[in-house]
Amino acid sequence: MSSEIKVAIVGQPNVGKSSIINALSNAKLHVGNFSGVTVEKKEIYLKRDDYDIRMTDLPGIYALNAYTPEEQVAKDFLVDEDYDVMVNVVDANTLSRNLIFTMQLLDMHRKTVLVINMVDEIEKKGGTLDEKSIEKLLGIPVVLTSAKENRGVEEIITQIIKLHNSVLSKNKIYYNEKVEQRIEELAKILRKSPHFKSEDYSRFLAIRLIDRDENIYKMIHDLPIFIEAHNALEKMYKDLESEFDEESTTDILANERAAISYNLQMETLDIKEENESLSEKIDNFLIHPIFGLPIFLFFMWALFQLTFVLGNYPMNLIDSIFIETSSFLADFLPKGIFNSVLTEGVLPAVGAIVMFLPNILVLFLGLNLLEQTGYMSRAAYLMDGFLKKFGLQGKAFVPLVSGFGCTVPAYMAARTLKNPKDRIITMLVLGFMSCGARLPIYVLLVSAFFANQNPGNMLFYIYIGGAFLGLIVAKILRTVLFKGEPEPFVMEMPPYRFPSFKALGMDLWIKTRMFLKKAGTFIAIAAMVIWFLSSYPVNNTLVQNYNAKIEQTVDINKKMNLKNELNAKLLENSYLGDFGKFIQPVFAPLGFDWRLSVAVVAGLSAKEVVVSTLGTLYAMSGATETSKGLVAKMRQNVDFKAAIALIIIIMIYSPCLAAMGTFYTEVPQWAWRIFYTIYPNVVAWLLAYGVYKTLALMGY
Amino acid sequence: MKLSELKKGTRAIVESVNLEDDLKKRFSAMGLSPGIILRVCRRTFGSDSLHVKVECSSCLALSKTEASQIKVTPIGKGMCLGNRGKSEQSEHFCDSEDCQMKADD
Repeated sequence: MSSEIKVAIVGQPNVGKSSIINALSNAKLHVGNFSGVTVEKKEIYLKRDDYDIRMTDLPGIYALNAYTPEEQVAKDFLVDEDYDVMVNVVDANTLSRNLIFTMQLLDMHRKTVLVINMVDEIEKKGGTLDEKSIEKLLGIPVVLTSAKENRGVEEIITQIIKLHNSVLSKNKIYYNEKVEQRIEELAKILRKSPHFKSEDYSRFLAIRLIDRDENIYKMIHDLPIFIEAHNALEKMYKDLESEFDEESTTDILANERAAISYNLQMETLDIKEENESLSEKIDNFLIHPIFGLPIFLFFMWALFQLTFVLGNYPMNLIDSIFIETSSFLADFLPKGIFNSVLTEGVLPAVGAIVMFLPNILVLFLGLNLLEQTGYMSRAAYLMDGFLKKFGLQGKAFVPLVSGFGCTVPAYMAARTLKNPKDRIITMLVLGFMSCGARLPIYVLLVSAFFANQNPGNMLFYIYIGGAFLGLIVAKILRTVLFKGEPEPFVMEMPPYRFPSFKALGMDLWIKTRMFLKKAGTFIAIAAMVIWFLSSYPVNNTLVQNYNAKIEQTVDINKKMNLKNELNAKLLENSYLGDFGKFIQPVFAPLGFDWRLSVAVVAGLSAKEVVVSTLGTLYAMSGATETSKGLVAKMRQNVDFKAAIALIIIIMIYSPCLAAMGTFYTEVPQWAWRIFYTIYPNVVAWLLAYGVYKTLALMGY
Repeated sequence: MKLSELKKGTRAIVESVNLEDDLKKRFSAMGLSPGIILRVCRRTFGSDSLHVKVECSSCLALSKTEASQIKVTPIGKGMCLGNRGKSEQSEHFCDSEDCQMKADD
């Protein structure tokens, strides 16, 4: 019989929680969302001896006084959910600061393991850490780990099991007598309510209340004991503040905790005088007051160059594999509807998009590196002053840059912003940051229409241009709709870390799998739908007329042309052709034919569908044998001005359904939802039209 | 003087953080609270944002607006001292008793 142990992993940001999880062997990782909110929830399952251990990795959180919506999720979990053991991960380099948070966690008096990570970095500096003393002083098991060197990680599990099987040890952390007296007094009142019978829980709530925790205050607000608790609390605030000569009881508790943690660090950590660390040396260069920004722009430029250049090598190979496979299957399989759906509908469409997987992977790898090395928060620091000019602040930079990868996690990253106005502005302009799924469309159009120029540069201009446009819109939103200052900017800059290849590899593998799964399911089904809509109804008189004509013709070239003409006419008379012609008036001023119009509208479901739809529609329009590739077909069929207008539309108009859904869950107000659904499309159309007309005047 | 006026490379003790409650808690959770020692590592072009190192360990980025609400007393240039044994402590690091007293009174 195996028994289950539920574990909550909690710690401040940048303490290396994820690397510890990655270092656990034989662990199954499940990534989902916390119920009701779009914050990523990582669950880890593993088996040791007779135990099924289920760990939940909570979002990084600085303190129990939740500051951002994301931290609220972690706090709610810690306070409300049911778990057997808490694992608190701290960074040995910033021990005393981390221990302040540990004190808050110990207030809950639950079974806790303290994991002190990155001890290797302390040792490298010639320091030592006496974990036995910490164990004795705090009264909880302490494990020293270095996830990087895979040290001590398995010991965490051993301690979890040991703790699970033992009785909860006595609480060892006590505050100043005057504070303790009030805590007991208040806890006694709370225990009168049947909800808070437990000694530990009532003590914890009393501490939180004296710490002026608003959530907990709201929690007791509707209870019969509220008046009594409230009156006692008001008196305690007044008395304590005058006894300690502090402005707020929060400060008193903060000082208490800081003093205890500081003493703990002094007692247990032995470390030499500080030298200029490698991080600081790198910072002298990378975040230089003058060269910092140009260096950042250079990195972004280099990333887009690499995206194009590296991504291009496997592209032709993948393209030809799909073309060969579908022409082989077309001959091999019996003729009929199944054959046609597969070889004319699904395979060209899926192939057209899978072709771009290498580009997308290079882009994701680059963005991952920005994040993992610790450069992202530095870039945020560099950009803070610049972003303030557009009504945003440095922290908004992180979701904005993640938007280059995928808009959905970028919306979630906006949860790290505290101020609701800042969040909504950031989320409203996030669509301007072109996501990875739009990359294939750009690569396709750039290859087709800017063959003579450096395509990497063009990609860079498109992405940076979109970002810049987004900032201008942010400025307008800030001045017109959301008056006020952006929230204060404060952010930790973790030391530079060498990225873990295992983590990078894992992440790319997950992205690849997700992408291929999407291509094999969603995109394939969309392609099937597009194929059916574009193949039916068949106009039999038209077919008979043309077949008769074709038979009469002797010249092979003429026969070919007639066949193409027939295919084009059939397509135009299909359901999709009707739909295309129905919506085409909207896009006609931009020079789009009905096929481009259909592709743009289909792209609202997912941006990958734009390219796959173009793949199907232009494959069936019967281009000549010599120009197989979609690139060449685009060049033949689309006018230069229209291509530019298309790039602008793609840059700005609504993101995919998944992203829109995320926005709706994050933003409850209908007014903003409606605004969000309409305005990007209007802006996109107007701008595309303006550019189209300008190019026409310039004689293109 | 204000943290925003502190010269690059100068160490200082934080005297007070005069910000709204939420933000004050945030700063303190990130290691910046009265009594600690910090050093200004650098500023961005135009001095809009500062990069400070707190308690010899963590680096924070903050903007000028908030930095101007934090009062500090400069204690000279140089790197911070670490804590190898209590005997070698700088007088500006409070040892255990001092800190306890400070918290107590």
